[in-house]
Amino acid sequence: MGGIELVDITKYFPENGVTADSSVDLIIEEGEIHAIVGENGSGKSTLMHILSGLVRPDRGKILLDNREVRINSPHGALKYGIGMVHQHVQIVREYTVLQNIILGREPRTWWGHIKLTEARQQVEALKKRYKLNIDLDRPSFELSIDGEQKTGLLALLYAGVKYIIIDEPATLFEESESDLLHTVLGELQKNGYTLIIITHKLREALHYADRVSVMRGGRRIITRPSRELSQEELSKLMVGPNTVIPASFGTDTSADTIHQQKTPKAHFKQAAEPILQVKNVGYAPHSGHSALPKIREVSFEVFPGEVLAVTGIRENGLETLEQLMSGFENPGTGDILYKGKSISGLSIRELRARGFAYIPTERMLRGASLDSSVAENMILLNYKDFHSWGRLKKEEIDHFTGNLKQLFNIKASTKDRLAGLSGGNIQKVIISREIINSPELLIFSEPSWGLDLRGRKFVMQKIDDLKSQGSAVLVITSDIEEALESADRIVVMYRGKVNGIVSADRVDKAEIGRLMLGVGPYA
Amino acid sequence: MHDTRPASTFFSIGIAITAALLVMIIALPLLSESPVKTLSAFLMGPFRNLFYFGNFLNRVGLYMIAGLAMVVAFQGGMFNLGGEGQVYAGALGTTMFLLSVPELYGPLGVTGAVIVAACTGGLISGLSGFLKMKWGTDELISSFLLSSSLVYTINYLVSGPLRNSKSYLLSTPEISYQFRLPQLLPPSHLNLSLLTALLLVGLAYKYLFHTSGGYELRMTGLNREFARYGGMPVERYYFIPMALSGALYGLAGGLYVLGTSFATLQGSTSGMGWNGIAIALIGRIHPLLLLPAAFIFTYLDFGAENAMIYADFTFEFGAVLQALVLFFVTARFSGFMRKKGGKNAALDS
Repeated sequence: MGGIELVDITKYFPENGVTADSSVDLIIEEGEIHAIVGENGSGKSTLMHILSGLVRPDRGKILLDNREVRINSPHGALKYGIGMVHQHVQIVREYTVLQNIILGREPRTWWGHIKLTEARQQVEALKKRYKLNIDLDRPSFELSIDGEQKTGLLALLYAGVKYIIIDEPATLFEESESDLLHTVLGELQKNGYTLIIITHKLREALHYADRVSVMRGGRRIITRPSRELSQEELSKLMVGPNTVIPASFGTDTSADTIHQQKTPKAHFKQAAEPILQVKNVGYAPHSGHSALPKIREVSFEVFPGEVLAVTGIRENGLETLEQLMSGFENPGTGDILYKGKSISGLSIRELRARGFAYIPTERMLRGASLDSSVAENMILLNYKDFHSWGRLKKEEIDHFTGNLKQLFNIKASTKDRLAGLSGGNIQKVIISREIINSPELLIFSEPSWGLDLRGRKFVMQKIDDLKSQGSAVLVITSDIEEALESADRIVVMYRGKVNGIVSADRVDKAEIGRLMLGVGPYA
Repeated sequence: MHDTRPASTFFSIGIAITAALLVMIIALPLLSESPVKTLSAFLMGPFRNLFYFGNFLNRVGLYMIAGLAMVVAFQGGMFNLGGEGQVYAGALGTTMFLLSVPELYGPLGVTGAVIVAACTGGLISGLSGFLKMKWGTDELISSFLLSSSLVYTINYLVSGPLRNSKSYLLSTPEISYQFRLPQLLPPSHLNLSLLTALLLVGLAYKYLFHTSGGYELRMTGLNREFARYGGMPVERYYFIPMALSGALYGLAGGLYVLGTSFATLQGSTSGMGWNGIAIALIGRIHPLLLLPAAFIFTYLDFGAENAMIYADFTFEFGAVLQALVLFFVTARFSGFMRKKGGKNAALDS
């Protein structure tokens, strides 16, 4: 029997202390369509990155047709006939679609001239056979995500792979042509390709795949033929039933205990003006300018003494919202009001001056200067308070930073280089700086990103503290548990739109999961 | 603020020098007919007598300022490739200013000349920073092109319209005696510019590590995204490091005229701009490490010159030696250049 067998695959990322995959075994049979489903951070993407040569496992082996193979790079994977279509396909922006498809495998005459017509004929044939509708002469920078993915898929077909991994195939086609996906996948299968699709969308997995594997917390939970599974069953397996908490999250995060810990909503909330109002905000990236997903007609409000979580699956608009709320990008339409005054169009500097606190998803790139000292990272927001005549007063800085170190229990000297600290301590440095002066509004993206259970509890406690002081906290997270645990109300995004706003104490994980997957709220 | 660099950098610079010297000693018998004589001429270069030693120290001072110019630019995340032209223009600016006010009270003239030198270099380099700020023009290219054309222009001026007709050299007339910096170890060239250099190093250190402006400059240089996120005025830090860097280069040229050459000679400051980059890199772009870095670099520079005069050492070998030191010192240093590109660090999960 041919096919791929993954044995005991383990991968640990020391950068953020996350074990993405622990001892995962998986068999992909030749000629099947195999769906891998799981929440964000369940390890499914890393597993496929390992198979496609992008990431090297710490342990484990890969068998191809019962023979062990070493896959050290995407190029190496292609040699074994394994290729992956990523959500963001790497393309050369200046090239046309055709040039990108044949990149590295251009048919050449003996003196090195590229036989473009020959290449075009081959690609046109592939296009036609698999109904992949795309203009080959279009410059690549004009492509949207689905165009990029089609380009990526065609490149793999052109390269002659046998095994195709597709990350979120639903984005291969625009909403209107989604039934085409079925045809394409079916056609590929008929022609002998083996397909592995990574998806959040359970309906899709059941609909297209022969077999489905569920990943949770870095482990493969089950693999079963799709006809033996229902959507309900699958969603339970994916998020873990409320009574059984996934191992990686520890044992005391079940819904009941969380809601007991959480401070009730402040009483003045109803009467007060909202701190933050997002009104009909829309954003579409300028053509080829940024890879941010579109959002449209997004509206919500955050009141003082309230934690509002915005959740959704990646690529559904959370990233965009973060950029807009933090002032890194300006909304295309609509308006954002802070204490009743419009803030769209203001620079980050002006937002900071108005007291915005913001902890970005990109902690290490945006939120910290790794080559600077701990103290230098701590004084980012208030270094001007420490100077007189341009000179920084060392004693006051030492006092301030020493104080933060103690309050947040940061295990390092303030003189240490930040990069030398553990992930958890780096996070504490960032968080301490942002919340020490009790900001009226905190924008907190992916709060427990890369944190262990203790760190996570610490962060949740801090969010709760801010709330009880009367601050408004906007949590942007792709983790359902985190949204439920931290927030009073939850905004669920789907395909760039708000698919529902629910009260955290009147909703369960399954319902939010449904909203995230585009199903309407239960009546 | 706190200095996070470990003292081990001294150690690693030491290793680099030793490695380079070892390569030289091994290769010397192949290249020289009298290796021992060459080696001693090389190593003893600056210490042959007080005259040589004074000239050596004088050059250390000037190189230190040139290195400092690059330290400031690098700390701000900018790369000033126009040092050659900025030094040269600073020298010419100083000369022309003092020639136009020959009767002025000495200290006043010197003060004015120093300001003119700094402004000349600062404006030239600041222009590159400004272009980057406005239109994103690559400062490497604009500063280099500007500097190259300036070098040719000044060459022309010095050998043509501004030339001292009484001299057989391609040079401007000399500045008046009251403007010349006090000599510290005559007959060598050592003069007050060495102390000025030490003062500037101290000032730059204070600015970079103990003022809020220096903090902004360094944070922007290390991670522009982070600085922007913190609400810093990041735009202006395209301009400021470039302008400061150019001002220091200009000062190096001005001080060279005030204390050493007393006129602008064609090509006399040539090499100072490039050497500034090398010295800044050897000194790990830290002002205080510039002190040893300038000593080491000048020592090699001087030793090579000396060995060329007193033995059969070739110019090329001297250059190779300097390159070796630079190579060994910067080998572990390449991380900085990668970071300059911005956000390509891989923390993608």
